[in-house]
Amino acid sequence: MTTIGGRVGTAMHGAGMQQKELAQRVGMTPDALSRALRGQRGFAAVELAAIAEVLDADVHELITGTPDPHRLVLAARHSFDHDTGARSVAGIDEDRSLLADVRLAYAQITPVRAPLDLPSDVEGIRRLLHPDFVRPFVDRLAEIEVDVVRIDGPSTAYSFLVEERPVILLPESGNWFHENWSLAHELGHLALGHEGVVPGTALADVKEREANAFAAELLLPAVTLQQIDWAEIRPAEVAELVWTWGVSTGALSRRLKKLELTPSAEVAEVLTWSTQKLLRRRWTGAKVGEPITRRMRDAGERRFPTWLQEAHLEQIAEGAVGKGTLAWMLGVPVTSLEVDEPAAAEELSDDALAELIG
Amino acid sequence: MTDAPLLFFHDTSVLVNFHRPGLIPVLGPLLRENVRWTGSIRAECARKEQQLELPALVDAADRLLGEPLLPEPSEHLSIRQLRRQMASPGDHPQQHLGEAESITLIQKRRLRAVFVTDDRAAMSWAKPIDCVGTWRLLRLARRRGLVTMEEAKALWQEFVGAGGTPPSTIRTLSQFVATYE
Repeated sequence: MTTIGGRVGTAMHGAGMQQKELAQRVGMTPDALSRALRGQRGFAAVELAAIAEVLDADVHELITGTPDPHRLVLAARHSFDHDTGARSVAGIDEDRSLLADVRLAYAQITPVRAPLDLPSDVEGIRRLLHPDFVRPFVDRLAEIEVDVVRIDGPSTAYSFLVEERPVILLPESGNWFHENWSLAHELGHLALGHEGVVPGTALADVKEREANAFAAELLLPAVTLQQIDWAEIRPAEVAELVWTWGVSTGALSRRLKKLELTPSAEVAEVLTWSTQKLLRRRWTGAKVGEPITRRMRDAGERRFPTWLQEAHLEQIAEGAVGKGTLAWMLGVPVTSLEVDEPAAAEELSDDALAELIG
Repeated sequence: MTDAPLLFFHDTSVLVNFHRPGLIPVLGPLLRENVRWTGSIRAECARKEQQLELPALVDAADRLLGEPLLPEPSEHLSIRQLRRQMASPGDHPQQHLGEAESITLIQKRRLRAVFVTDDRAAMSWAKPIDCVGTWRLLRLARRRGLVTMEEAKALWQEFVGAGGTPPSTIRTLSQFVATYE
């Protein structure tokens, strides 16, 4: 299959669509589409884009026969119903336009910054992140060339590769304990080489379980938890650990159960509380300054990798990209963004136009 | 290449502006009939005809511009690449494709051409291709007696009535009349 028309025809048949319907849906006459499919007429760029949209095809692949190097192969963090054991990603369709926006921010920069090889085991990752990595988790990930993007809107966390560079996308939530789990979980997908972990794909449930086990061992190592006397520990000490480990009460409770560690009734009770309630009522550190609010604010801020923003600044200065994407990354109106950029283009003058026309 | 006729490649915006008062036919004699458009611009015009309720926009443009130019297979990736650099998050997937297609065809085919557009951002992307927009074309058409003052005023009024903001020097009708008289 060597022509665009041939590939469009194949995609059309694959989608079970007739020529007449496709022509009507993309605003072409049946005759124009028929000739284009036979290679007797070209396609306008908007026609190909519309065809790709209608057929849910990759427009780059329709043009070249090979997948778009900028496409995102996603792993989505599934929500897990602890009662039924069911996993799902309810908002993935609504998230696609946001994911496309993130993809655009990377695709406008060529080449993207080179990644590091990630070890596939938890201990290897922990060594790279260094001790006490949880509080500055996002910064530590940046040091090992794992990008973290945090924006308002996505229904869940995602991970994907952009030209081999690992990226984790998080929703702005303010819940640092959920965010840390998402970071560890998505890091698990990346380290384990999982791709395409979305509902309906092969082994999605298995890969989700593996990523979750990775996150659990990274944030709550079994050996660490087994060294603690859970029958004797006081709620204030548990609160201190929940703060230090950066996890939720629910996550710790489930991890103890999984490791068959039984806490005292008093600790079991406080682990049924929300994370915020435990910290505000039992954590002594909460009385000094406003650490909880500060941590919430940090986990709620829009964030893009610094290198990506700097690369956009350079490209804007060279006139190679517009400043709309940088403004979007910064969360500011494009009209207010003053950056180094080439002088605006001028129209032909009246005299120059008259002279050109003759 | 210098002996080749100078071609005027039309973007959607200028066609819409000239169509509202029925002035698209003026562009033929004004530009020595050396006028062109691409398939994506024609498709955009068809969409605008529906969206903006501009009956016969495509018919009028067809009569002026004839069969649109379509990209060769080897030109599509360059169009997509330029479109990607022009885009911002939130843009419709088909936005900028018309401008990117016109600019790419002019550049790849080394055409001696002017891009007729009111899109300032597109003008920047078109560099070093010369660009011209609605108001300069209209002024030249007035100077050459191809458009009456009443017709020119109609274009300005229709443009403003549709929510457009004219350049600062012709922001009011009296300024416009003084400039185009």
